[in-house]
Amino acid sequence: MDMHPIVSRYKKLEWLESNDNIETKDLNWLFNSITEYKTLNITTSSEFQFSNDVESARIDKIEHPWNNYLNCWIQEMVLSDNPLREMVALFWHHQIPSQVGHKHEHAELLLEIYRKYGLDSAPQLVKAIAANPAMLYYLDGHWSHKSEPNENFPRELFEIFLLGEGYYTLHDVKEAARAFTGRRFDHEKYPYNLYIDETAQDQGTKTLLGKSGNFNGDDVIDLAFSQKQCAKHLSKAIIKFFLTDNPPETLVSQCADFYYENNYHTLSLLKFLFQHPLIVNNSFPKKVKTPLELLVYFQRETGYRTVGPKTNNFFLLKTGQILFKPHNVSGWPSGENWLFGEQLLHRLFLPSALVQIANRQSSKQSIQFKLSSRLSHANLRELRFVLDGKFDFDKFTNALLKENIKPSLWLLGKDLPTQSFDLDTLLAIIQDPNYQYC
Amino acid sequence: MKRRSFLKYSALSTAAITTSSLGLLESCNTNIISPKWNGKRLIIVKLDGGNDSLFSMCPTFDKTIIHARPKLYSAIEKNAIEVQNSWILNGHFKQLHELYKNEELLFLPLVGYPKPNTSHFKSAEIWETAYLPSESHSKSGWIGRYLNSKNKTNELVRAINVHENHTLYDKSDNDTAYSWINNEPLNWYSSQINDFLLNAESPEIVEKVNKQKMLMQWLNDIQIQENENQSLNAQLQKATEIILKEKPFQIIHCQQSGYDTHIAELDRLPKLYTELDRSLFNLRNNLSKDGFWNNTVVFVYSEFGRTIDENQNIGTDHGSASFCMLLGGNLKESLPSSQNYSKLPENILFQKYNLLQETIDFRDLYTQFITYLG
Repeated sequence: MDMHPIVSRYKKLEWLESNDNIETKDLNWLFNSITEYKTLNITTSSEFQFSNDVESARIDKIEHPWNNYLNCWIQEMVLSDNPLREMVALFWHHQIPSQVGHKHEHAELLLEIYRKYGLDSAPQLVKAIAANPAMLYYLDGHWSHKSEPNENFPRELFEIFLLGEGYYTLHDVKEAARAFTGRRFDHEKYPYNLYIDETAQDQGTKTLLGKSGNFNGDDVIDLAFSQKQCAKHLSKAIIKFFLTDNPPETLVSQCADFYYENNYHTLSLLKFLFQHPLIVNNSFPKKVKTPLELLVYFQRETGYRTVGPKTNNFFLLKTGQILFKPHNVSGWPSGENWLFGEQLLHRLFLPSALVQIANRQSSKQSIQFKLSSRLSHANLRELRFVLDGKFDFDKFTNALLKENIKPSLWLLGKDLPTQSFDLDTLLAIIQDPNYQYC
Repeated sequence: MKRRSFLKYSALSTAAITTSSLGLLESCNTNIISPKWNGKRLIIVKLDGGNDSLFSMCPTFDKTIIHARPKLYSAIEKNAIEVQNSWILNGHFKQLHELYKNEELLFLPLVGYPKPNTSHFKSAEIWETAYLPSESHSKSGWIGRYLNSKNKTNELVRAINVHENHTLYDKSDNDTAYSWINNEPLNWYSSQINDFLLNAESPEIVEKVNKQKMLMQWLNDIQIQENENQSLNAQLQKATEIILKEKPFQIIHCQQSGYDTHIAELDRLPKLYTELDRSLFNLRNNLSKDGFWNNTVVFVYSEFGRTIDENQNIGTDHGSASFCMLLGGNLKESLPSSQNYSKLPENILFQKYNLLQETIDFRDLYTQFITYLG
């Protein structure tokens, strides 16, 4: 089977080369300025009714402030020169997810933790998450009392987040639950800081993971990170998220050693990983894009941009990934599980439907599109999708050509690369099954 | 994609843009009549999140339980329905109790497996694969394995998932899983799907798309109420239509979410129980009219029960031993061995950490289902 060039894998290397100190941009600032579109760099062809979209975005903002905030995050992934920090934040959201219900302020704080500590020390990140109201609520830590310690958070901490099944015992969970008792947060005052209710906290000696002591929650997290298995579990998850659905054992153990020795500094691990000979040689089976990756890479690679949160929401809803609403505590499915049922059809055809909508919106002539009337008239009337006038197709072509498989032969139907794409070629690429992989 | 096929692809899509797409549209939306099948069906309803067994049905003879959950016990006692052997049923199951009196329903208060696992994820996996972790790490579902063994002789009879969550039931080496919520994608992308099937050269995905397209064509005549698409009632309505229209799906699975009641159980469970009661009763009434109910078994379960003790938030935490129900028009013939369960347990045993001891292993039930399905 011919492989689609792995554009995004190539770009990941580029992100690393571009700088070491990737700043955390203030999403609130983006949020406030979004109605003016100063930050979006969107130019449209003259026929496109820009003012409608500004208006539509205003309505979106009034209706769904949280959706708008998430939209800013997605915009940052799409438009940033270096989206590594955002993609790593997304990884942590996959690895240590939380369902937030209607408590959007809590989720906003959690997202800031993913973004702030994502590239830095993993233990610090997990400690911050364990003190965040979203996680405390989600896994019932906020009422855990020494008379009845709640095991929900400690169990998932070991089983899903840090160690994996078989590397802890039920006894470890019970003891860890005692260590996490008494965690309360200030319900009244933003940012809902954590405090310890000493009357509810179990201050006795706990014995877990082979150690004994008067441990508190943070100590338990440190204990879990002191296990070599933790480095292995997280490294495997990182490789799976960024590179391949089937990570080779040798790579996992090399990364685990490196991660462990470097005190779980995630940016260092990513540098080690992305520059590893195995990666550079590109000798991996492919990874299925998550719906969000599909949405983001699709925009980064084609120059088309969603306008306002509705379009992003719609895309993610149809393809099955609502952020901060994973199916269960183990997060979203991975790999081939995404290519299933109705979601598969939306994944394959919605991107090209959006491109066609963008072209129809920007053109006075009504072109007979391949879309059925139900899609173009009724359901997608409110979706906004435009072509960024500054986008450079050549860059996309060059990115494709840098891959070791010569895509030009099949992409362009010619033996030599050409300088520009036409609409049909673009549609053919994004509808190709291989576009579902990265 | 090879160069040749790309050129073909390109030519075709240009043609579709410049000429009318009506031809392609129609060819995709034509009803392909689904094969008809009529036989014994099984509907599985999962109460997702871990239903509190003792709030569904509670023994009145066990002092440990009464003391461990004073608020919850007095709530269930207040409008309880006396069943037998000093067991009381939650008053919100009024219509189901009618079915019980008609011998169309059996209550199985404590169903589980040895060494209960209290992680949602793991326990759901155990129920879906029917493997204990100590036995196998295989992720194939019990329904998938059953259909695989059977489909050598009968290609058409399959299982279908009518809710949006992903499950392992149908997973197997051969892909026997079908998932269907509505026909939206087929209506939207009709001609694109046709183009794709003609031109793409990735056998696995082409097969998946083809299968999904065929499924949607088979189910094109099923009406769905769009606004409550995911409620249990809507899912069971889909199941009803699948059965009444004799679609070739032998096993249908549904799901009702919201049972993870760590807090405010007294607010949440009565609402869920009322919906469960109403939806199952509707299903039974709709299927009874044409005699389909006699050929149907409904199995209701949850991935685990909850703790005996109530917590400070008037909720309960993850426990063991699920409350299950078996429904059907002709239970005595469909599942003859199930009559052994008609007498409710006379005493309650506890395991380590105050978990309820199961009285029935769920795999005994599965064995009966397989015998029943044939």
